[in-house]
Amino acid sequence: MKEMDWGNYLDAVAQAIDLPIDPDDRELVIATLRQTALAAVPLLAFPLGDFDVDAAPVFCPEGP
Amino acid sequence: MESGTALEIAARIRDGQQSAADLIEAHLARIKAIDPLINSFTDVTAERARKQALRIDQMIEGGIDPGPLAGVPFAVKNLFDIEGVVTRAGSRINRARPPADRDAELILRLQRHGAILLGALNMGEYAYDFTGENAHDGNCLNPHDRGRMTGGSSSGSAAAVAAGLVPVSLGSDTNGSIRVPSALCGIFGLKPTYGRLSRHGVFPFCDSFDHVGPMARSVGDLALAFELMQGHDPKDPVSAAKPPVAIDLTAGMTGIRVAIAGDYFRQGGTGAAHAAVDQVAAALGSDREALLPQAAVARASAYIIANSEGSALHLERLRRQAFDFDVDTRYRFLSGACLPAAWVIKAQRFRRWFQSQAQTLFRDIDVLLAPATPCSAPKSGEKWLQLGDQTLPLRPNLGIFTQPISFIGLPSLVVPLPQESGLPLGVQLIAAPWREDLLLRTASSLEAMGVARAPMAAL
Repeated sequence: MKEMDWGNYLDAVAQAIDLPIDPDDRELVIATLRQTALAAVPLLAFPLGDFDVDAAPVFCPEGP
Repeated sequence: MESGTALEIAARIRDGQQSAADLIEAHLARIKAIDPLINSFTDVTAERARKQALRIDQMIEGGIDPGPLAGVPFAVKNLFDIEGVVTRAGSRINRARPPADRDAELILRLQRHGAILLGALNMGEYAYDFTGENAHDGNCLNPHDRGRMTGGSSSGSAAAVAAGLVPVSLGSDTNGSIRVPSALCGIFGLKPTYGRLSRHGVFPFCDSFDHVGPMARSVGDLALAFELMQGHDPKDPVSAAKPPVAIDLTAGMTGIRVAIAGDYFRQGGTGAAHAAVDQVAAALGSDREALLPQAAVARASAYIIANSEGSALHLERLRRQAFDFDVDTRYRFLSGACLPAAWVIKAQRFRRWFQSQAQTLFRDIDVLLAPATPCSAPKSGEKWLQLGDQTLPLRPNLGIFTQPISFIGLPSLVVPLPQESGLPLGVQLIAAPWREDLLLRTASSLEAMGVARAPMAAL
């Protein structure tokens, strides 16, 4: 599998969410993204079923 | 200075053996003398404390009982709102905000029972920290060895208690921020069940697992502060409408089933950190192991959610004034703002799965034991953690044993174990949701046996 280019990813996402990344920070941010991607590997590989969901809060409006 | 536990102080004040005014002056003098050595306080609210002490003394003179915390000094992590004080949350950026116009709910609750606030305490920037280092207010130093880290992010809350500046403090804990510094500074710290204590008036980090709780040098003080802060608060959207749990520290261990957390929690720390867990298990008469499966995935998920939620909270500040963040916080938040949504959603879905595993586990046991940190307090400025032949980045790895627990909101209490090295270690006691009573009973038993102790640091 081709290695992910986190630099290109960062540039695209930062532009999409209007987040300026100072050139002096760029390499540190890329390194952090790469570390997070490594940390995420076991999570992304973990099998969850279609019904393993994160339920939304149940809203309990105050009575009249 | 005549010190003592909160319970002893309150007894002296209520009996008229000492005035609250004298007691508060003694504590303010101790803070003035000792705090420059450890840098635990960022704001001392001396005039407010003197006024409150006067009111307590007037109540005593008038035959009115000020409450079970009569005259007891306490202090709070500086992300708790204090009326008239700017809520720094460990940051430079927040200093431009106006002072808080009211106290956080838990401050009000403690004061209602006679406690007296002495000020705000140092912390890691925006609570995103396990070290106790702060570029804006200066590092908080470990009272047991000032060349070492306190742990974070509730650094000042742990250091001030360990140094005997206050008997009780309040901290917050998202990934381990009460438990890590409690362990490294050698005090008791309780992270209650998610939703148990009100976070109203507390600056957030990661709302879906931000907790608040007490820290103290005795289980009695920890239990009393916790007990008096309980109760639903509609101002905090996640505050649960649960009845307060009754605490009986005299009940002993009868009926409490204890097990050591296996697998993930039996590796990844120093020999001493794992031996501390064995010591606690032996004292409690348990050699049983229990498995909380996929804890490594839970830790990864906690990391991803905290990184993403925290970054989303600060997105506008990252756009406008990124360079006002400490560099170590800044690049983690910038990265977190860019995480793929699919990762975050998967982590949230996994959280529900992991929670169901914990529910199953706690059908067979009541208290699970795990290390609080992988090591004792590292040297200040240290960037790497050496475990056997492995060299790991220190900052994220200080929380490896706490993150999977707060991720699903389980209550966890750190008991301190003094070590021959002079640097304490902590062991986590973990229970099913809403069973803080079992944790406090277990901690009390360990304290009574002399296994868990929090001696005041010699400064």
